[in-house]
Amino acid sequence: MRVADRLTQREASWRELERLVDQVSERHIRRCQPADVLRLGQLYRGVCSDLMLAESYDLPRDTVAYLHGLVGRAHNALYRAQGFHFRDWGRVLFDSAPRTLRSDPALRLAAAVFVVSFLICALVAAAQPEFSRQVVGDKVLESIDHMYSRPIDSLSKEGAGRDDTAMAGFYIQHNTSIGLKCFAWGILFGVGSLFQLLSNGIVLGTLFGYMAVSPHASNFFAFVTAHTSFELTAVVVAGAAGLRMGWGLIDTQGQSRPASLRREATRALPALGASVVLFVLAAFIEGFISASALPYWAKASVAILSALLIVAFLSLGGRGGNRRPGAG
Amino acid sequence: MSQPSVAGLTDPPIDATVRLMTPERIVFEYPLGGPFRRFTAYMVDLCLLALLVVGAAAVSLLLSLGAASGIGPALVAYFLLSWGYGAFCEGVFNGQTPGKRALGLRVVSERGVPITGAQAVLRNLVGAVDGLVPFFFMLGLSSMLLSRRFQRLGDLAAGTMVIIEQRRPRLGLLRIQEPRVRAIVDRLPVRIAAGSNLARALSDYVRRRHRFGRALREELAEPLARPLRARFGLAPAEPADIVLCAVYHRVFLGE
Repeated sequence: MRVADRLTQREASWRELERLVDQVSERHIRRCQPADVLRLGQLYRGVCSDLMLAESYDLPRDTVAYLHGLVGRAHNALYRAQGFHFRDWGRVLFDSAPRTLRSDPALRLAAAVFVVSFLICALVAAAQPEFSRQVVGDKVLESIDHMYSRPIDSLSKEGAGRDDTAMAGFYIQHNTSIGLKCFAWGILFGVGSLFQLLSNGIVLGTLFGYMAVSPHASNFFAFVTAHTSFELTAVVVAGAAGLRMGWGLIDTQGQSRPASLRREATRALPALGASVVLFVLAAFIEGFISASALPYWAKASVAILSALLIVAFLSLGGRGGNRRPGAG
Repeated sequence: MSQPSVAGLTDPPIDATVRLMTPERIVFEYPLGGPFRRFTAYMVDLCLLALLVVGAAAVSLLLSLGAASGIGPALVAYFLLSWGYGAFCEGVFNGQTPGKRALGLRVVSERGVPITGAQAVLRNLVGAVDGLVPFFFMLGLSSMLLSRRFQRLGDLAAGTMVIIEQRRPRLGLLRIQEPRVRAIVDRLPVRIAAGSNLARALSDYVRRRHRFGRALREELAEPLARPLRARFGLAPAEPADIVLCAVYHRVFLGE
């Protein structure tokens, strides 16, 4: 059979496939006519075998290139991304996240780096005001002095510059972005996450130490106590997820480095999800409880309660069992 | 893979293409999306994102009647859009954000299968390092240049790549309406057993000959025309260009 005859014979089905691919890619697969989808599969297999036999058919190069493009588009129209299974997210958050975190040395390392840098800086800053001036600078100290110079409840009563919803939104946007960046930087062999953990620990520790000995200490603690447990844990967990990803580049376990990176990055995702949830919870507490006129014991019990929740989540989460064998 | 026709599988050409095998065991090629096309798509997405953020802020402020509490949802929307826009679009629209769609790009996983939701999230989260903020795209760009499939760091972490979906016009066979070609075609045998190499050479030549001047055509066609003249008993004086066109007609069109 001559090429021209073969082309005219096949051309109609290629054109039909092209039309179907356009049609099917434009809408969700469930909204397509079943007959169209079946026909698409049939035509796709046809064009696949045309491509396979292109060389023995002596098809011209342009036609082969055209067939490559057509097969590619039809392949992507047939095999599609599965989207997000929101039902699985609960399982990931409450099942795999605590399990991976519990067994992960990265979490211990991240916690150690953060807590140690925090404590050292807090102690030094409390003992020597000069230290905090050098670490965070005069401007920050002045603004933080100014911020906490009046009691929190007087601020919220005046209601001039501050709105609870707006602040909660701001904390969600600002703090969670910090956490996500802390994770993303982990791709530089984990050094980025370590750096973020250290710098956060140093700055926060210095501010804590500085404020603890300042005359406005009571105002400061009235504000920060309630959301501390959620927020600091969230930073540590995000850093741990980043470290986990970076560690994949270092300890390849016999895989190639990109493959190992992929493996650990996927493993780190549940922890990162948990961290985002913690950040959002912290932001709501920070916006609506920390800034409120509630008495100090109420805020302290919120902090203790949330700390207990985190401990319960980390120690008990994901122990529920054998519902899905092989999931771990 | 056992077929000799895909011999190139073991030694891929030095080219920005990637070979994939479909579940039907068919090997086909995609061109990879390079930095410039992807940057343009990114800019389109960025403009769209800015519009969406402004729109969300406007709606939020309108609903709260301009009160300060409207800033909260606006900031949450900004957070969700800035971190989730790419992941959402790629996860739901089969690997394409609107910008990628406009430029014919698509994210697929390294094996050519569609990306999962986790991959979409991962490549966009790690993308925070690739972007403008730390080193003016330098990390993403150097990762693209160093990796085999133009992968930025987010792609490496998620195991994805960006391909170009081609929509080529189908160039069929050419007919050369020259009387001298027709005259030679009639003197050729009805069936010519051209091997695949000869067929490919003929079609490549005929496709491109209109770009060359007469002298260059003769020079290019002569080495192939000489054995063909001998094989079909044509006069050595026949121009090489005309001979190739005539054989092409016979082999491909049969008329």
